[in-house]
Parts: sequence; structure tokens; C-alpha cells
Amino acid sequence: MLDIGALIQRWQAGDERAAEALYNHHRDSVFRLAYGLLGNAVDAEEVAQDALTYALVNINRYDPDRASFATWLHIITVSRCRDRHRRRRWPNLSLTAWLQRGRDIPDLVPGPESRTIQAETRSQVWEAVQALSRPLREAILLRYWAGHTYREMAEILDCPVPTAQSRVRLAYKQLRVTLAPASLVDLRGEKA
Amino acid sequence: MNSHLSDKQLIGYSHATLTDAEREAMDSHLADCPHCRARLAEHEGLQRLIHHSLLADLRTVRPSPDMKFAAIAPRLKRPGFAALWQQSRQLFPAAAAMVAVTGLVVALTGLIESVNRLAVGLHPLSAGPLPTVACVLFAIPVMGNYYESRTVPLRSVASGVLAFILWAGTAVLGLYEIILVREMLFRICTRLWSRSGGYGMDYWRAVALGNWAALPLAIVWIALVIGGGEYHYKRAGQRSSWKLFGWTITAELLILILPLLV
Repeated sequence: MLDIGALIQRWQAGDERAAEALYNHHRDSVFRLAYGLLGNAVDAEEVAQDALTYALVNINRYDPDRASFATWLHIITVSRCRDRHRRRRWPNLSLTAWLQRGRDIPDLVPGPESRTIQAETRSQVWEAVQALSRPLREAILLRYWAGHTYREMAEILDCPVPTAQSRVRLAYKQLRVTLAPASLVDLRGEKA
Repeated sequence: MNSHLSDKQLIGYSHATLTDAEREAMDSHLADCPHCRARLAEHEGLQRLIHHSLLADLRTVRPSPDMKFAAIAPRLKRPGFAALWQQSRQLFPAAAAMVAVTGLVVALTGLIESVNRLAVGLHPLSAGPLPTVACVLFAIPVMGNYYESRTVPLRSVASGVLAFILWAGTAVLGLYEIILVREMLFRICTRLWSRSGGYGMDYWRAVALGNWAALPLAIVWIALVIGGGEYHYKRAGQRSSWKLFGWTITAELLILILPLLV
């Protein structure tokens, strides 16, 4: 069992091996949260690297009395994912990309995204969660996947506790409508 | 509770979002009602399905081999000035509070000066640069905190105190702006109505209009102070609170420059 507090102290004192241990311990969780929120492995990887770098560089700003290190990382990750969503709203105007249109040679070697997707079998629940609006998707992932309390969710989502609760309930109601036939089959299977 | 429980109640129950009293009332109903127990079990089953499916789906997703510590290690090396900057950032809450308190004192001085001028019968269309200076002083900690809260929107006593000072400061500026708008209306009316440039009946009509205009402005001010206070109280230290302060200060700055157009 890793002692996260001790690792943080060692990294604050400048021990790079402690930073590496912190990184390796939280890498998958941060990546998966970003992937769940963005639905895209390439973006998720960029966001996760950025969030982990930010957390490690600003380790002196982390206060263990306020939140666990994992919660702090989730605050940073959700914030970065929102930034990414905001940027997606604007059309990507790149002169160099426009000039290179039609000159790209297709890459036959699978990239990180296709490698990741090949390894998945998506469930209907996953598709239904991805179809939710951004605030509801954040709420359902933080509650059902990450298992955060409503208080932690309020900190991560930057909203009051009742708002976090109502988002979870609303997201659940929408999922219930979408999954109604599938869930009945699965529940019957579960009982049998 | 004789009738069956609603879906809303069952969803609240299974998501643990009810008060203790509501939960106890439902517990006693559920103990006697197999129909509601079955419906609750259905909700809990669906919740388990969502939970397990998400765990299973995301367990299969792994980052590419390129995502490793070595890729970010060079960015973690901290040169001397960067470490110094990191240390100096710890002083930010105290510095922000000092700037905000200075802004509050400046805003109060501007307000008192305007009220004094009103008391001796002068028309204070401006209290000099003091309110504008106060606005700028308020904007500094608000912008700093808005930026910082991008990643650390956690509540703290310091941010609560700072929010209180800013709330009081923007309220003082609001009071000053009521006087300002009243005087602007007075000036506009005297210009429009004055036939000979002297202070005849038109002068008193303009004073009366200014006074009446102050009444709805005061009501709006009270509503904004109470509503804003409640909003900041619930969200002190959060990004949304700093954002609202930002918009408030921007609006107050815009009103402050209005006299330049009159």
C-alpha cells in the first residue's frame, strides 16, 4: 500500500523518484476520468499529462487538510476537460493545417486512439453516458465511477452540494429512460 | 404515508440525497410495503448495473505507452526563480486581502466625500478618482483568485473573508453610484429644461426627478446586495463567485465612466 502523504512530502523535498511513484500510481485513474469525460483517447491523454504535470509542479499548493490527493487531481482534470470542451466549440482555424489539406499521407500504423479503442468492448451504459450533456456526464462519472461523496463532487464541479445531487439524479433519470429495455434484461439475468 | 412512494422519492432514497427525517419516514413505509420495496430494488439494480458497467468499460481503457513519467520529467525541473515564484504565491491570500481592504477604505472615503458635498448643497457628479481606484483595487484580487480557482476551487477561511470584504466594497460603490446616477439625471434635466440657464422652477423639477429616480435605484441596490450576498455566501472561494465579482466590478466601472458622457 503506497503512502501518498509520504510520497508528497518526499517530492516536496525534491525527490524525483517520489514524483514518479505519484505519477505512476495516479496515471490510469486520471487518464480514465479524462477519457470518460472527453470520449477520445488522444485528447484524454493530453489532458491527463497536463493535469499530472500541473499537480506535480504545483505540489506545494496541495493542502491535504482540504482534500485527498486523488480528489485534487480530479479537480484539475475536470477543469482541464472543461477547457478542452470550450476550445472545441470554436472552429479550429489553422493556416498550416489548411495549406496541408489533401497532402497528408494516411498513417497505416494504428495510433494510440485506435490501439485503445481496439481493446474495448463498449457497453450500452457507456454509450448512454456519452450521450449525456457535459455537466450530467461529469456528475455520473464522479459519483458512479470514481465514487466521490456529494461534498467532494461539489468541490470538483465548483457548485453547491444540492446542485451536485440534483445533477446525479437528473443524469440517472435520463440513463433510466435510455437503458430501460436493456436494464430489464440485465436485471433479469442478475436475478437468475 | 399510505399511498405508494413516488419515483422521485425512491430515486432520492437510493441516491442518499434525502434528509434524515425523510429517510426515516420512507423506512417505515418500506417496511410495510412490498410493492415499493420491489420498485426500490429495481432502482438499486439499475444503479449497480451503471456502476459495474462503467467500472468494466473504463478498466479496459489504457493510455498509450507514450504516456509515461519520462515524457513530463523535464518539465518538473524547477529553476531557482521558478521555486521563488512558487514560494511567493503562498503570500497571495494575504496580499489580496490587503489590496481589498485598501479598496474598501478608498471606496468609503469616496462615498463620505460625496455625501458631505450633498449635505452642503453641492452636486457631486464625481468624487474624484477614488471610486475608480477602488474598483481597480477590487479587480486585482478578483482576477487573481479567478485564475487560481481554475484548479483549486476549494473553500477556505481566507477566501471567505476576502469575499466578504469585496461584497462590502462593491456595496459601498453601489451606494456611491446611486448618488452619481441621481446627479447625472439632475444635470441632464436642467440642461434640457433650462430656458434661461438660471435656477427657476426647472431646477426644482430636476431635483425632484433625481430624488424619485434614487428610489428605484435604492430598491435595486438592496436586492443586489442581498441576492449577491447570498450567492457569494454559498459559493465563497469558488470560481463562480469570483466570476460574479468580476461582472459586478465591470458594471460599476462602466457606470463610473458615464459622467464623462454627460
